[in-house]
Amino acid sequence: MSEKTAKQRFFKREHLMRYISLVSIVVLATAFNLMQPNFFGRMNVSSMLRDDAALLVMAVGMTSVLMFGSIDLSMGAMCSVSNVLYVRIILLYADKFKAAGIEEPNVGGVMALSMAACLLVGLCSGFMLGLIHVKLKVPSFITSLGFMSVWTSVAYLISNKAESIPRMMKGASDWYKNSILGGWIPVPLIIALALAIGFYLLQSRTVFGRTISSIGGNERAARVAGMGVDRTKIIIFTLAGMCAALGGVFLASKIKSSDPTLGDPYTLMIVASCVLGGTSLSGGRGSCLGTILGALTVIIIKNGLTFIGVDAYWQDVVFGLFVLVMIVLSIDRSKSTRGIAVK
Amino acid sequence: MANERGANLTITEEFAEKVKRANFMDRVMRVAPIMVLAVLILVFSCVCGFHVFLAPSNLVAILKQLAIPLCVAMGLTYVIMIGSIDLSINGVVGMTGSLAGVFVANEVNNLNLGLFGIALAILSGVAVGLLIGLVHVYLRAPSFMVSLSFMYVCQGIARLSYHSRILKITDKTMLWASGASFLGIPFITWMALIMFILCLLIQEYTAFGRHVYAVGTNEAIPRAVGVNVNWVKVRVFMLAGLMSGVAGVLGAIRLGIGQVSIGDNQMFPAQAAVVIGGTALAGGKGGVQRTLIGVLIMTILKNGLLMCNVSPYITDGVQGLIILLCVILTCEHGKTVISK
Repeated sequence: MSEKTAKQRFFKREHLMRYISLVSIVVLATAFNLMQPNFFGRMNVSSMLRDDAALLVMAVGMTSVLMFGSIDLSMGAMCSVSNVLYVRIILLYADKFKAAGIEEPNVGGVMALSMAACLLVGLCSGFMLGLIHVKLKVPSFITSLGFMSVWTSVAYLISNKAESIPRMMKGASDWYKNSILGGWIPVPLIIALALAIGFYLLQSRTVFGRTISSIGGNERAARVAGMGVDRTKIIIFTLAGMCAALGGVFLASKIKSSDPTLGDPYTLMIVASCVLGGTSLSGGRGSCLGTILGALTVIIIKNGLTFIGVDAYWQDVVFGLFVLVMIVLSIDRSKSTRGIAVK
Repeated sequence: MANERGANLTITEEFAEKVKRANFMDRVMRVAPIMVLAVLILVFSCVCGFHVFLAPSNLVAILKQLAIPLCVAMGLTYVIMIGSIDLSINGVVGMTGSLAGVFVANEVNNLNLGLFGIALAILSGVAVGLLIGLVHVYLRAPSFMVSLSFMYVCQGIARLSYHSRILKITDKTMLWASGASFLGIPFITWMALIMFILCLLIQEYTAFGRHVYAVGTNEAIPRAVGVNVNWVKVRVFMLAGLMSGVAGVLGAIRLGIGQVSIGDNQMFPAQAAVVIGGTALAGGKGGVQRTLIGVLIMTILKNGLLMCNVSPYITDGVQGLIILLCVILTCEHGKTVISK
């Protein structure tokens, strides 16, 4: 009898968070639309979805990290680094083209090059983070906190002020504006969704993916069973680093400029998206499909509060409290965890 | 289990061996920060010149820079000693600094509460600490996540409190405090030193102080002997809030304005100071006297690098590397250790 109720409770918990994000998307969107009828206008929807794309790309990377019980607090700072690096390389080539007198340069090539550079930096960062965390047994939140400090200063060293993408290179940001289905669905969102679904398939359909949730459920058991725990963790941290870098490129293309502090608020937004999507901070539970909904909820809240004219300063307070409530709701407080100390 | 040095040790001998090694490491951890401090002073004196780096004006500048990080780091030491962490520092310091500006006489509003206003600002820091502690302990949420969310909340409150009109403080006491000094040491440093002595006394001579160590080492044991572990933890977070509150007020005194940026860049130096001083992130080891050395190291490092014309951005990044290095050196290694 008790076994059955325990099982029922488990299933409830499993799906509770996903329902919350779905319900809150519907309720919030309806409420905002009632207050401001333009909320569902094409302009606002596509603008929201463009914001959503950048957040989703990063949150997808974080989901896998959270699933094995670790966390990467350096993603926001990594996003800033890749953001300033992307614009810096483009500016460098713009100057070169100007000096050579080329009017219509090959923007696509420059874009690919700078994007590759950003992804490479993200890859190295994630790999180093994973290596230090896994091989030296340093808790991931403190490792990534150290990385956060380092990457913040690297972002400032690359460029200590906001820079914008020059006119002659505007192809590097124009792709972000393109959309399909009569301007409703922006191209970057399709890329982000493809990435999320790819990650979902990886997590649910491959041995490698199942290893991730096994580590989160019980790392010792996963080790004893002979799964490549260390290797899996390092690969996931590397992928998360690349996702953060890609997020930085998306943001640079969206606002057509760079800012060394751009990624700071994203750390909390990323965690919020994952938690809202049903990924538990203690590991073992979660999926990227949930994260898609979670990221959308975060964006609707952020955008909606601005849209109905809430003071920007209130937004920090509301959003911080909201994340706190979500985290408290998502924590497993069943009897089986009572003896375990929470640090 | 047998180790490579002697395969046929008895359990007692092996235990004695283990304790000996732990004691040796402990002694190294005690001496190492002082050595680092001495080497730093020597290196910077040689590079910048003795008459420049050790000039009275620079020493006073170092003492002035010491005050705020010292306050923040002492509160953080307690939190780290129970094995938790507090990431809300930037927000709480910014909030109490801004509120101090709002409550005392200033150029924008007419709310002139004087010393009572300063107390109110510090109390707001304590209140945030209480909330973090309650949510962390009773709702079983990890402390780093709770305090990270509170950082954003507090920054929001700070910005709300003055609505982008920066508050220039005109309160006579605070203006006096920003320039005053006694025996050549600035007033705000005196305040920080008084707080340091207070924290040291709490740590060494009260039951609460000893409970902090017990909770950090293994919280099941104090719980078994009837210590209210949850309440100890909540009080630790309140103390951290208090220290951040004092730091915020000192920041407002130093700058003469109340604004959220008082809190910017406070957390990493404090974090680095605590771990470099020898307080282990796993909890149960350390103390505020060690943090004082850590804060001295961080302050002198920052001051020295600035004197040598190193970019301040590099200095900030170095803090992250120091945190990483110290944690790598002190955390538990081995094949069976599981870290999350």
